[in-house]
Amino acid sequence: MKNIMIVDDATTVRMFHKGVISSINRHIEEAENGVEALEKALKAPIDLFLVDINMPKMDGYRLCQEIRQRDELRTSTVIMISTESAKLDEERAYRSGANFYMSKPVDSEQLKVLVGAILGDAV
Amino acid sequence: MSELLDVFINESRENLESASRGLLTIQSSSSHNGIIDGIFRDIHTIKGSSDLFDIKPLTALAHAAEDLLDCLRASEVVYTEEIGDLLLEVLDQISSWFDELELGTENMNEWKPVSVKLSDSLRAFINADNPKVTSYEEQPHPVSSSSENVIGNIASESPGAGPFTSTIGTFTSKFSSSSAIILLAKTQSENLYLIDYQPDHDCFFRGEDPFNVLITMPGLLGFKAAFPLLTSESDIYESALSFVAIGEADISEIDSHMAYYEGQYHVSHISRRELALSCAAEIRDAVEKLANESLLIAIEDGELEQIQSVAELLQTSGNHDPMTNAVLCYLAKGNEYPANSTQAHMQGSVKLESLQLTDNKHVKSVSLYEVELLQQQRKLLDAEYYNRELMLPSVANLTQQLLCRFAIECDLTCEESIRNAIDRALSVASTPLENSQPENDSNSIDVDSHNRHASSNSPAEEGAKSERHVVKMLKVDQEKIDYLMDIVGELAVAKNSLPYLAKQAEKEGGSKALSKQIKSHFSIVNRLTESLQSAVLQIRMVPVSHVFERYPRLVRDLARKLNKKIELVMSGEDTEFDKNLIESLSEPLIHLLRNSIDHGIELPDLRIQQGKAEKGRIDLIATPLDDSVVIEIRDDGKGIDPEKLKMLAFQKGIITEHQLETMNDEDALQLIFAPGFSTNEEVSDLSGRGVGMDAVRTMVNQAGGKIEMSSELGIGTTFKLLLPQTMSVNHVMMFEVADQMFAVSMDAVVETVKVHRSEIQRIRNQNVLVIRDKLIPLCELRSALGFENQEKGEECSILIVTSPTGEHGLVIDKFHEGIDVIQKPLEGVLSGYSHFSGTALLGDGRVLLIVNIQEILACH
Amino acid sequence: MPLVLKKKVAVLRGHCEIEDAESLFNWLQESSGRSLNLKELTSAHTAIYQVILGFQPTISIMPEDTSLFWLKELLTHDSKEVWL
Repeated sequence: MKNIMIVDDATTVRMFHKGVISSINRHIEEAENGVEALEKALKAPIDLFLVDINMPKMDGYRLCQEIRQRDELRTSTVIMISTESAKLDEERAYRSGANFYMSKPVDSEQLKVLVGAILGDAV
Repeated sequence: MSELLDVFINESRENLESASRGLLTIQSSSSHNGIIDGIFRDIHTIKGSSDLFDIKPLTALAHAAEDLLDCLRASEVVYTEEIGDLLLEVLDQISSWFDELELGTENMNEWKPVSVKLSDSLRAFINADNPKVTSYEEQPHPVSSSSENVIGNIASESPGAGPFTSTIGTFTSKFSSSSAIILLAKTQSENLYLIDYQPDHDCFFRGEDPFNVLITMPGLLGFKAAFPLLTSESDIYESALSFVAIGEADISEIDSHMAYYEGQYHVSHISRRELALSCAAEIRDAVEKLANESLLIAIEDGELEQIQSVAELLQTSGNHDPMTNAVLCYLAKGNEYPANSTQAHMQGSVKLESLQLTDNKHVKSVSLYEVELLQQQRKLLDAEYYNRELMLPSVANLTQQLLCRFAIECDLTCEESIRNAIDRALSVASTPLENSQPENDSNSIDVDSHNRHASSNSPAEEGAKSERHVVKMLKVDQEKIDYLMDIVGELAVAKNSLPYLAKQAEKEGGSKALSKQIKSHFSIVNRLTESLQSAVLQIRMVPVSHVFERYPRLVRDLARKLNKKIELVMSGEDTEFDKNLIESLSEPLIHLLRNSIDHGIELPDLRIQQGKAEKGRIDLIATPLDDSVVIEIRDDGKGIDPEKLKMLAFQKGIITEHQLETMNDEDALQLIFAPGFSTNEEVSDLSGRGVGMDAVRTMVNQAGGKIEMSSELGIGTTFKLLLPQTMSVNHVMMFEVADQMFAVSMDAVVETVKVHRSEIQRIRNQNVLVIRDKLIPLCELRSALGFENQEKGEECSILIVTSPTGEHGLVIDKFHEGIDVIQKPLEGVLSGYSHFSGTALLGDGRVLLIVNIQEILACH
Repeated sequence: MPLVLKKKVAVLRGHCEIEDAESLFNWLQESSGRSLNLKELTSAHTAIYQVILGFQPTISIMPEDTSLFWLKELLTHDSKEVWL
């Protein structure tokens, strides 16, 4: 069972992404912001994070940095998703510790395949 | 998909509400900044979510509003009432579009011109104040425009908005050039903030004391103050100060500290790493200029402790300029000397091609995609901003997983070997994988890999292994699985003939040996079929969270409509269920939840009066039990009153007066399941069709499950549902009535008897049979199932079954054998027939109707 | 008395409130060469600080209170940058 955490402050977007990548062998957690994400993440090991950049309380960059600071989450893969398509944001995402960067609106097929390849459990 | 739309509309309505409130607040107060930011955020969310649907005019309008709000919050445009009114108009328009979406009456052609007109009006404000043209075709997002005003104007930066360069740039422009290094020397913390505090001129009159606010800033490390020189004309009661400060704390702490001074400050996060990267060059320059032998040697050797002590020594010894001092202090504190490879250029044109997927939208086979992932991670390793400490664990982990599929093992603890491993994988990948030369594989694998077992795998095995590893996943059409299921079902039925054939072989063919052989083969086939069945069923299992996740919102909305406070606590959402059956579970649950909310949980005031918590609680718990699932819905509401129930049942003619007097509480509670029963006289618009509990029970029974209820007055009510987890294999007993095949669950069958007509007695208007001193009431299935009555023969075939109401005898025409079937619940038109709990397909194509004993007996 | 205005020196003691700012300011303007004794100053309203920093008078004795370290820094150096 793979654990995925979707972090985005819009319920609709979380639901959409969840719908795209959900499958039998995946357990999907959701969080509205970075603070909540970290709280939940520390309860169970997370294999993959889907992180939105623009969030209140703690944004995606900061969350990414926090993730990389924690031993149990260091090896997790992080996909950063952003509404901005600016180049600088992509760099910043990588600097903050993201493994992948995608800009919204996310192509469902791409996301599905990416997640499947990362987790190695595509159905 | 409409479920997603519902969630979107609900969420967005909340955003609209919050934005409207914000706009109304602005109109009555003077301080804007935090509020505008909130409104921006609301519109931004609506825009982002709306993009998931095909409602472009709405998205475009939200985009225009967002752009304007962005300019407002960056103070590029000044807020006026006119702007406020326009924004309110836009919000109203979006709201009425939501109405249309809900009803399904939306018309894009009508939306378009409205959207264009309003968008233009919004953008007119942007262009009027700011000569920069922002037509939304050109700029994907004008947030970047705020970065132009970095120097001399500290850009507003709510977390996440705007390019980070502005923060560092701001910092270095406001503070001296060595300040970054001093800061780095002062603290190891990552949690740095930069605050720009500009008290209003008249703040003294509000009782504010800016300097003291500054000095008491949480985690303050340093600041810079600007104050004017006073002349005789100066008004000393006017504050002409401005500060920039830097410290170590959570931004939320700062916001708390500055709570009273909203609108007079901007705070943003500074990344320590970025700061370190930004002054890497200066540190190196300072060290070079110092030209101290011991220090240079220590740096070359990479001896951290050595660097530290030399730096300390140098600090105390000589007179250095502030920059050098800062650098020495920095090194003396044990900070890393920035080596060239981690150097980053802030405005550098770092190129990392974002993950390149082919132009065609077709999904590539996973193996090729994995190759690309490896390529991308490889590039990450080489990127100028790659930070080893930060990224190595995750890149190593991901690489390891990906490499598994290439059957390449290696030690992934250091960067070098990761690079090599990826390179190797990529070179293997460049030859088409299905035809990969086994020799190549084994050669490349043996080179400098630590963990590889010295195995005697033949090249053929190698090749096969790497092939197997790569083609691990399949995408399967659901229809194919369903088809597979059907065939497996038929197979299950077909195999059942084998024992019979074995018997025939013995009887007619006279061969006992053959019969034995057939029987033993049968058990093998049986076993295999059962395994096959459960394997296929497993493929279709999904966690109940699929169904559960809609509920919190549902509960919240309903509770709100009724002005009740209710919390839904769920657990066991991982419990798995057959994909097809899962919907059959949802309907009864929703009804039960609605009942709890509508009738169970009391209004907050009433609850407090009773000493309960204001917030009602509904527990929804799913637990697996053998091959079923137990679902419990428990509320801490007012419970069900057996007396009230009895009274109503009596009034409705469901029970007699005698029963009213004599019935005990337990039985009274079960009345709730009686058909035609509804405890609420007013039609509650929430429970919609006024579905009673009998309908819920029927649904549950249809799905092959059971439902129980227990309740305590004043304490709460609990419903327990037991539902089969899969469309499991049922062992049923077939029988014939009126030339049609029916069946009952074998579990329910007690025995089969054939009796003479004369043995059937009639007691109190009911046919009964006496068997071994037991009185068994009989039920003529012919009439129960709606067939014409036939001339009764001499002999009667009776199926004795058990049911919650005791043993009964079903009078049928002919017995048949027991078989294994996969029972499907009734669908569509047939689902209203509660007499049957499901159907099954027989080997010869006939449909078998499986009788629901309880229901049949209940009706007669 | 937190603020004592003498002929050549103004002595600030303890906590000085906003009301003292005007007197101080006027006193400073009356004659040049006047200085401030901040030895026993522990805290003050911003308006006072603003006067002191903005007028740049001679400081005869610096504040000894450690919590006013920053004030000392601002008064002694040119840079207006204070590290705590």
